[in-house]
Amino acid sequence: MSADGHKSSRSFDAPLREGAARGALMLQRCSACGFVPNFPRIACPACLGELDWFEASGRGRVETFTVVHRPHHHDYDGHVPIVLALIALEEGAELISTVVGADRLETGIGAAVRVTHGWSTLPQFELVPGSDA
Amino acid sequence: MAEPRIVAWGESTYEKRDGHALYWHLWQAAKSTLERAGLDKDDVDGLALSSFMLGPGNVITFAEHLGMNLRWAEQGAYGGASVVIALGKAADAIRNGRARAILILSGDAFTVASHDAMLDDFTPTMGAYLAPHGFGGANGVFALVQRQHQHRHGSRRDQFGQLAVRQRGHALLNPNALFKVPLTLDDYLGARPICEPLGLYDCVMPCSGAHGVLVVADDIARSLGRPSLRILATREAHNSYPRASSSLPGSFEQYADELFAEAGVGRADVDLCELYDDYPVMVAIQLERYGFCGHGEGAAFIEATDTTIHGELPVNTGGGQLSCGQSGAGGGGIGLSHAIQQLQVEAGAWQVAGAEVGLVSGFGLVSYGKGLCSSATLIASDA
Repeated sequence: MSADGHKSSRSFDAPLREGAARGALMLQRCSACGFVPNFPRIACPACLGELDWFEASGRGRVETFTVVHRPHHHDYDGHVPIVLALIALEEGAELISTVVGADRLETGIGAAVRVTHGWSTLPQFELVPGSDA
Repeated sequence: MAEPRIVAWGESTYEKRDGHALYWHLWQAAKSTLERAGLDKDDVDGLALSSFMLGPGNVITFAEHLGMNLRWAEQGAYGGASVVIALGKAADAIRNGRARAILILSGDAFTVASHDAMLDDFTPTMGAYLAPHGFGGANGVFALVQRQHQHRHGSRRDQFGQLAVRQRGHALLNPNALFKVPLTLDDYLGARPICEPLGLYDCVMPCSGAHGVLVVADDIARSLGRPSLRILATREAHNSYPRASSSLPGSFEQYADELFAEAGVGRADVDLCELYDDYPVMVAIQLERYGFCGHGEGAAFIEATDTTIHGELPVNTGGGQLSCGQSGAGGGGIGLSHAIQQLQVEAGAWQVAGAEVGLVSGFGLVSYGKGLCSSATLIASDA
């Protein structure tokens, strides 16, 4: 299976991937309660209201991270070491993504990150220079 | 009204690679369980099955394969929490007269490669939003949890490592464990990193294997002339803390007090724990959330408490998944099987002396940063 050929990819989340292709982070916000979910949903998981896509700030801070030496299949071997991170976005959601860039191993808890266009079909992040935790 | 009793356990021979097919393992688990109980296949009227590899209708197609006529069936859809949940449902079915003898099976036939391939679609969310990051599978998810635990609570790798080392000591006494060589703390700390801070010995090895448990009505249990066990209470929780993208907030604490209250026992009455050990950090979190220590203190508790079979609180007495291997959904069955072996005084070289009450905890269906399903039971020898 290729890295971007996942059977479970769904059309309703196309804005996320279209945003990623231009280095933008697209999120959903509930039109009824304002909740911003962590991954794309059909309906708001806070109130079952309808969700609208918007372009997020793309900024957040690293809550926790890991350096992945062994991806779950070989399609990703060329990106090792991969810095997988749980990122608390300015919008409140906790996103799981990757930190990319030559300096990615300097990632620490609390580090400021911003969205960027990387090697994944999903939005990725980079360290914001000069803003160590 | 009938009361449920656990009367037998069984298991297939664990295999690392190039082994038998899944149905062989499930058959071995079923057959060894029934033989131990002294019952025939046709005495069984209920079947629960948990397996990641089988498709829709898997419990029934397996019954078809083995020629079983059922009036009760349960398909485990809760990852590594499935077996304990099935036990609770089986107990209720026997109390309600819906079945008289229920066989609970779990297992898979994985290699490391086939297990990796499954991760792309383990849950739709994992496949769509984690796999495209090369996330490292469950190792990546729980590395995030462990670093968060270390950062927030000051826990250390060497504390988690003590659990892995002790479980390896148990496994060396268990002939069905796949890991046959001793593990030292230096080995643990010096192992190659998989997903930092997780090293090789924090991670389970996917393998092939299956477990069986037989639950029957108490009148049947009395006729078998075997030690029988009471099911004091079972509980489950799903998608605890819906907004969290991590297992650090927990889930087990949502039902822990209810579980102990219904069982009528306290934490000090527990003679052994079989906790879901996909990673040592999750064992630490379970010790915390079931109330054996405070939140965040799990790693320190492991360091301060002798969790070996001869210790104050034996944990994962047959070696657990970390040192036996993770037989897919059988990883949700190994803990219950080992607790039963202890309480029926059939554990052999790894027997805990005088064990009467066991806590078994299940956990699984890893999705967006956390395991979605948790379950627990307290079981006791039928005094």
